[in-house]
Amino acid sequence: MIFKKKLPLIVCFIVGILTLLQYYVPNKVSIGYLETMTQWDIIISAFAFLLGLASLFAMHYDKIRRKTQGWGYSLFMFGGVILGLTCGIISKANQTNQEGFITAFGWIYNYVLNPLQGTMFALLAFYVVSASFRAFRVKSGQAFILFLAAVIILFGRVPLGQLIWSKFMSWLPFGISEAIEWIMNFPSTAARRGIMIGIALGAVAMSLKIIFGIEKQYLGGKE
Amino acid sequence: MKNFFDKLLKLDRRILFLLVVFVIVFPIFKPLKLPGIKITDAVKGVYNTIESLPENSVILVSFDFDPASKPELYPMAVAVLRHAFKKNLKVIGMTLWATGPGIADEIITMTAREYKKEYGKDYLYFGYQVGGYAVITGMGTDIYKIFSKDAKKGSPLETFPVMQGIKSLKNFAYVIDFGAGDPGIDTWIAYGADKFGFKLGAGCTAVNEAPTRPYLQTKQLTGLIPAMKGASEYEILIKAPDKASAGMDAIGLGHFLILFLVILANVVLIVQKYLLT
Amino acid sequence: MDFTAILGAWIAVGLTLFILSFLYRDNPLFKIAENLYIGIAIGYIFSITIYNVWIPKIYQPVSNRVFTSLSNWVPWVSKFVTPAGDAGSLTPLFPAIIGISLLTRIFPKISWISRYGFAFIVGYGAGLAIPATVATMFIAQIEGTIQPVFKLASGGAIDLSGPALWTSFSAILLCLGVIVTLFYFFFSLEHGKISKKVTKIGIYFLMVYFGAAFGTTVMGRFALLYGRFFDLYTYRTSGYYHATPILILLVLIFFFVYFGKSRKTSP
Repeated sequence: MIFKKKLPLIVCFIVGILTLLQYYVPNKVSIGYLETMTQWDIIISAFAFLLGLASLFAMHYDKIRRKTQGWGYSLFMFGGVILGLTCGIISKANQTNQEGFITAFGWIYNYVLNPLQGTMFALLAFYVVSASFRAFRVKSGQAFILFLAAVIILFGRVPLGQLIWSKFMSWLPFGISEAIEWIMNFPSTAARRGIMIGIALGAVAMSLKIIFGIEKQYLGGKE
Repeated sequence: MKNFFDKLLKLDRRILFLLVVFVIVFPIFKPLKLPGIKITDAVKGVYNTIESLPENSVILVSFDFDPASKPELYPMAVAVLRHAFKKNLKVIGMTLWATGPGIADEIITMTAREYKKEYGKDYLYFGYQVGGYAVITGMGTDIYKIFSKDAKKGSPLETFPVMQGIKSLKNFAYVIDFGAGDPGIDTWIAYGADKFGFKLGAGCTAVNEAPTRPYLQTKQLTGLIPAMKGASEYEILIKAPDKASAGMDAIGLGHFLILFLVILANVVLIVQKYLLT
Repeated sequence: MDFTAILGAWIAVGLTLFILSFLYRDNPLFKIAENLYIGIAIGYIFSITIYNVWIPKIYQPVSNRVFTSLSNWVPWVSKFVTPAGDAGSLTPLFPAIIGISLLTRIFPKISWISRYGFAFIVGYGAGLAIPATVATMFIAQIEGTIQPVFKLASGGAIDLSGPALWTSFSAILLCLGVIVTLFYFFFSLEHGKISKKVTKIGIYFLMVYFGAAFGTTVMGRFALLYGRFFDLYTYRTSGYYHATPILILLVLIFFFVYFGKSRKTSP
């Protein structure tokens, strides 16, 4: 019991409290402590991703073993891993070699990972358009304010909008660009700052709960 | 009439998709060549800081993004590095994103080559290190304990002339973060600039612009380059229009498409509600 | 042009089109690209971790230490292996073992061992986060909100010119905006008549923020799409053997055949 539950909580408490205190007591010892702990954290974190990897591999392996529907696609996942890893090892994870030429690893990055990831996220442009057409409804005063802020920004942040504004609205004492900067710097910043302060309070409370062992979800399991 | 409006509101989304393709592709084939956009103070903040640095000052650039936001952050990173090299500043690059090294390496190598800069003397590339805030915290006291060797040659950092006088983050004349998320700008402010007290500038994605703005007013950031629009402003400032300036043309039509569709849908709804019933 | 660049262009265009094909309907081409993406990303991150963390931070210091000690005890060892760099150190072994212990989480019976590693990471993170969050997201933000208003109050002669008035108005608006937004977030407080009104104003400020965020988000999404289309545009030329038009045609033919067939087979 002690080794399974209490001791990990004590470790968390000691590391947490010491790390917290070193911020307020800057001296040789505290800096030395922070440097060592930082090194450790980096090394431990470097293994953390293996955990996610293991469960992902297990899931895809299971799919292939049971030959569930679409199991063939999982082969592409494993193929990708082998390809990426092989190129990484051949090129020692360097993008370019000593002469400045692109390596196999750099090639994989530029011509496989880059288009795949880039396009995956670019798809969102299409869905943002279709969702706006279907769901952006101005039904209340609040929705109108949201709509207005969005319209001003969509209109005035591009050369075309600024051109139209300067042709037809130049009689106004301010340009569209100034108006947008003002919105971003004052009302929008005010709201964001309110949210930020709220998040900060929440994060500090959460961190304290972790250090004092009230929040212990990270332990996992039931015991 | 009512039938037509109903159909219009339930338009197959694939037709909308085709419209999107058209508004983006059209300006690529036929650039509109619209005049450049207005320069804002946020972007000038980064530009002026770089302008004010004396020759041979060493700046650190962290490329914390990957292909998912490349079109937004790549052009500004290139523009800022061109500016720095033109001013004969020394540049050190790094990344906190595991999928970032490809872009980081490419940008720093390409721009350095344009200005015939020598590796190790005028610029250096630290590479990637896992840990996010831990990396910044460690670099705040001793960079050599976090990055003992460079990522291109694998030689100890102290063997490079550019590292002379550099021990921790405080020794950089300016730090710039091009960040697309976490770890990124927030991390650099909270665990870096605010704690160790160095000048920090940033470039962010469009999605992160509104959330990052408060740091500008508090001067926790000296300047902020917001996405492709900010990049095109920077390109105008350094008088080298490139990818961002061209891209803004295309994005402009996209904005007008979405404005048109949102207004159309709402007008149709109002007409249906008040005129057709 | 160099062969690898041409091959790369063909692959990049093909994969881009595979993913875009999802816009029409889910299909095998998209699924292949999706799985390949996950695989390649993992392979890439894995390689980067090996060469940027495991080797320089663990393997090199430890092996250097081992070889140095070995050659001290058994001199002929140094004839075969010369340790690179410094004398090294065995200390990284300790965090490395804790790191590896994280993997025990997969096995329910011994998963408790992983708790030490997580306790360390979480404790260290929480200890660092508290002062950083308080300084950056709390104190600095309150300071930034109050300072402009404070400046107004302490400034000597009153300036009634247009820009000065506007600056004052903006500073006060910012301050009020933060207060009303915070008010909105106080869930624990039962709202009375006045506080309900204040909360409502808070919502208006939030709406401006969300509107602005929506506008910039749209912009970002279009920028990403522009980036992809620009690559397709670049690869359309004869230098790349017309990769883009040819592959678009092939994908269309595949669609025609694949969806034509599934329409026939489905009742």
